Amino acid sequence: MESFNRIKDYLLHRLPDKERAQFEAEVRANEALARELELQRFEMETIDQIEADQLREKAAELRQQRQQRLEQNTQGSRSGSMVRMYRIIAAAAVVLLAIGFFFGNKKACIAKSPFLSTRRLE
Amino acid sequence: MNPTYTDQQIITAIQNGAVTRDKVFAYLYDNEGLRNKAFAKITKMIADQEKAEDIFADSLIALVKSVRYNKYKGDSSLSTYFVGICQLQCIRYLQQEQRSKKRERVLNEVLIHRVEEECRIEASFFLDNQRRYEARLTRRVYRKLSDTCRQYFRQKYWQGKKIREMADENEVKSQSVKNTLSRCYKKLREIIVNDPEAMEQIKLNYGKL
Repeated sequence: MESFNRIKDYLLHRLPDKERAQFEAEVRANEALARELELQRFEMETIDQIEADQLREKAAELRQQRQQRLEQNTQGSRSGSMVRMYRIIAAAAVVLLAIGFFFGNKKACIAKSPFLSTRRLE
Repeated sequence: MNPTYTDQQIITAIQNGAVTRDKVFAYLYDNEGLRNKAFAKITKMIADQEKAEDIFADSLIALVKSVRYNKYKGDSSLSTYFVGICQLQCIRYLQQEQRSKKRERVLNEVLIHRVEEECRIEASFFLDNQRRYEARLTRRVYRKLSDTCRQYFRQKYWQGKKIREMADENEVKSQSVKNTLSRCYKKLREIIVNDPEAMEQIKLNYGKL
């Protein structure tokens, strides 16, 4: 168990420099320890791989959620711009109607007014 | 409103495998500032948007792993360090794509050196050590483990849970957790030892420190 924890601390870079150097010297001199270290490293990488794959799934999920949010925002801004466009068209129509009404009325006034109509004739 | 985390809080959550770790991961993934900074570098090197997204996610996973392995020393801010990882992941990808081009290799070397300097990062952890054992091999091994073993390993080593907490979560007795963990360890070792390719790779690495 002591060896297990020491190897684990070594692999996780938790050993102080002096102890780390001492451990490495032992590994060089002891083939059984070298084997145990490598087996434990492989085990640790296997457990890391389980976690990495879980995180990858989580990232894919987050990516999908993000994509959906972006699409909703784009749709929102699209419908927002449509509303803006309709408002502009409606405002332009009102202005045109007002202008038409104003000029229509003016012509009618000129035609009705004897003073303005005679002046024009002259 | 989404919570915000300081660099120290992020590191603590990852190292201690706190409950907040998944939240921290989601926070980092969606953090606009971090994304902008990272993608500014990634898209300079990788044109494909899909691939760029993959590299961003892989870089986050590599960040989590490097913090867990005490590789982040705090010599630069976490975001700068992360951008460095993104660049190294891009280089790794490009190296795989352009193995034969010598000129690319030279350019990559220059870039790696610059990233190491600027981001205070140990490039070898992300480029070489990570590939000591191929993911294909470790994946093959863990897929032979039962779901319970995988779950217990994650709870113990990545979520940092104590035996009692694991017992509560899995609604079993503490002794049962101990026994299961011990059995799972034996099983894991057995699978590795009985996998000729894995053992061949392990033997090649004897004494490589």
